[in-house]
Amino acid sequence: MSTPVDLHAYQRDFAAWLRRPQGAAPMALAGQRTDLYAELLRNNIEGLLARSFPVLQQCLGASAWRALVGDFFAEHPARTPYFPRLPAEFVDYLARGRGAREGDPGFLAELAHYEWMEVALAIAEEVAIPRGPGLHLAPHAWPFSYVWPVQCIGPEAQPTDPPAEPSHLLLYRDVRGQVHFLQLTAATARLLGWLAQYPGCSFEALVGGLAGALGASPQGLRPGVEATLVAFGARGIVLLPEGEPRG
Amino acid sequence: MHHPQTTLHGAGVGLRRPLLAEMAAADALPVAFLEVAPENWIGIGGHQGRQLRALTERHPLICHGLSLSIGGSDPLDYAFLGRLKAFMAEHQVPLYSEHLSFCADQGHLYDLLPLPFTEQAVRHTAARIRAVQGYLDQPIAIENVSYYVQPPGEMDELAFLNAVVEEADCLLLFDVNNLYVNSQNHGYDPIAYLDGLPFDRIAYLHMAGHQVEPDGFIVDTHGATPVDPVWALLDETYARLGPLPTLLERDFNLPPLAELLGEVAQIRAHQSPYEELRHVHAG
Repeated sequence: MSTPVDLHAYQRDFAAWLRRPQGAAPMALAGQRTDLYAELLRNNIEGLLARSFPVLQQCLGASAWRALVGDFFAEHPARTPYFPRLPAEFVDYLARGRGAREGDPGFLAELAHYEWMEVALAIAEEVAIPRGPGLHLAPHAWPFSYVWPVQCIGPEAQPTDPPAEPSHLLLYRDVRGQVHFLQLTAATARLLGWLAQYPGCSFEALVGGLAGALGASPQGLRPGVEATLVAFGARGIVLLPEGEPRG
Repeated sequence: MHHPQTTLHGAGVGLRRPLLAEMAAADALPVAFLEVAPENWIGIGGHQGRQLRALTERHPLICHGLSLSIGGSDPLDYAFLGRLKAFMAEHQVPLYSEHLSFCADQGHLYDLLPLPFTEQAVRHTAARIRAVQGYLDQPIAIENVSYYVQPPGEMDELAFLNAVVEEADCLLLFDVNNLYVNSQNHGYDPIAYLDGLPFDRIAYLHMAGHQVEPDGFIVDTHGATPVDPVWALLDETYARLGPLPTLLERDFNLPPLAELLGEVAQIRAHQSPYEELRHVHAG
């Protein structure tokens, strides 16, 4: 019988090889079914990610998708023990760890982020609704601005350059747990951004802040802001104070 | 020594997302208990979270972990254990089990990898099991895993398993299919292994199906119905221990719920001839 392996060296070597199974398997396992483990792990990771990124997968095609998942597994030390959170690690890898690479579509990281946000919002835990005076963005209303038109991208629509204007999107979850999508104007995006930045602000503070930011008069903005708040309040996107939005 | 303190008995089934809606909609499932991987459910809210809660209000739940890497070299994840403890309290989970394996090294690998059967691995793993039991303030059950490679060690699989559970003073989750798979793949007598198990530590059993490769090697896929020799090993186990609580695992190629529940009923049918033994053991 050969010398017993050192536990930690064996784990380090086997794990490192499983992340990059192209070379020779670790000495301690030479001639054994290491390839079976490499295949099981790869299928597992692909299976965990595929469900969350259907559009990205279609855009890339099977072989580029497989290569990308292989890069992720090889290069990204995943920290989450939670399987439904693995897509978040993938998004993080695309946004930060991977860097710009030849052959990657420019929209890669943003499309992945957008697809994951839809899933993440559907499974997000309940959050206590803020109480008290003032205006609040609902905890399950998530506004985003993307350089790329992620909501329009598909296998037949893959832009090579970003458009002049960013895409302002809102994902929100209704009381039944259903996730909805809205495309926002730049002004509405700014309104929601203000509420996110200043939770509990008053109607007048919101109007004043937006007027300053947009270079408009508060009087001119007031009817539009009020109408938007009433509409968003009805959908549960914005939490209004008791009574009128003017509070 | 902790004796298995769960009040579980009968036959249960693993809860999987594709069957969640159907199972949550049923008034009462004909199962004695459910099992989930906590790593699939901690932090899940929304519609799925509500469905899980509806199920755990009607059925006992046990947690069967996948990510703790109990034999691994990375530090134990106490942030995870803290959330696990809260999840178990929230859903009144009486028992947590994990695999005698590792699944991370400088980051997660998301699959179960075999430990070497060495004294060093016994000491390392048993110390970590003790730490987890101390943190959770209750015994945990450790499962015998299937393994397809085996690094050089000093002992055989059974001696390793016994040494770990003895030194850790923990419970055993005995996976009947894994015994069959390993005995076939590595060429040993499953009955001799069964007779060598620490009977008084076995908390519950797992039943599952597997896949046979073209060259005869068996992969523990949980993607098929259990085969006859595994049912026979289940009978051998019941004959020695009485009808221990038994869980059907099915992770892939999920059949319609009715068919899965039929397999749970099949477990109950195998348990029933040994019911008198249970009362003897309990008495």
